[in-house]
Amino acid sequence: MTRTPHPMRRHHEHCRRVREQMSDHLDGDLDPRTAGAVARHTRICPNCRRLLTNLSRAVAGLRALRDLPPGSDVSHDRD
Amino acid sequence: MRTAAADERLVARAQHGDRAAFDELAERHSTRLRRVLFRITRDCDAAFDAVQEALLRAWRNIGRFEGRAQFSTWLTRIGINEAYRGLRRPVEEPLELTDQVGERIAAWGSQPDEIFESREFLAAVDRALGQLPLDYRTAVTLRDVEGFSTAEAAQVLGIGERALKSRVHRGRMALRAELDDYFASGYA
Repeated sequence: MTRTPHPMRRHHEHCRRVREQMSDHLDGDLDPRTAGAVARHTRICPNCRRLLTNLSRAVAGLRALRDLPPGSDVSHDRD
Repeated sequence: MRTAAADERLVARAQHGDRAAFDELAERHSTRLRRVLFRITRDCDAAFDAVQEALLRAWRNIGRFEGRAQFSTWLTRIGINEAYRGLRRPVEEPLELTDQVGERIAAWGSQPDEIFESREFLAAVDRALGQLPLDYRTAVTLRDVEGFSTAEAAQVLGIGERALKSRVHRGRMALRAELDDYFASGYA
């Protein structure tokens, strides 16, 4: 007899799968069906939504580094 | 694609011993290469040395360049190999994990607080990038900081696209984890 997994276990499994796909999602590399599944999951799962938002901010920060010439320090320069 | 076509012409001349043509190639590509190698080594001198070594090796081996990849891809690969060689070399002092980012930050945001947040955030991102394991740091630098396509970055590193994507994803996730405190503090 096949036992149905506990709903929370299924949810966590879904979270794990979605997290593995987040970079491809941000890069637009997922097929529409998978991208839709990621979008639906992140709408209902606050942890994954927060993770995707922060991942997106981190990637945006990395892209912003491109325009900054290496060799000067802004971390202490507030003026 | 004017750049690629011009590169091809310069490469052809350099392969016939035209040093001026090679110098022009170096001029075109060394700035980006230096940026990539700085992000990997976290050290201006090490990046400069790796660029010089890479250009020397590229000039010596230009006859073996077959044009299967773009010249910039080939040169970046040589540069990364040189940077890795430098990082493996024993040094008297440990490499500094500096958080050096640049001057154009001032253009970010219109309010002083926004500017500071942007500066502070980017400095945090740069620090977090420096904390990543070397393979992840290199993949993320190529893909996200320098904007190489997945295919180009994979070609530079001599790995498959799936492996490249995996390194980029793991690197991004690790970097995001490093920035968690920053995000939790209410940034943006």
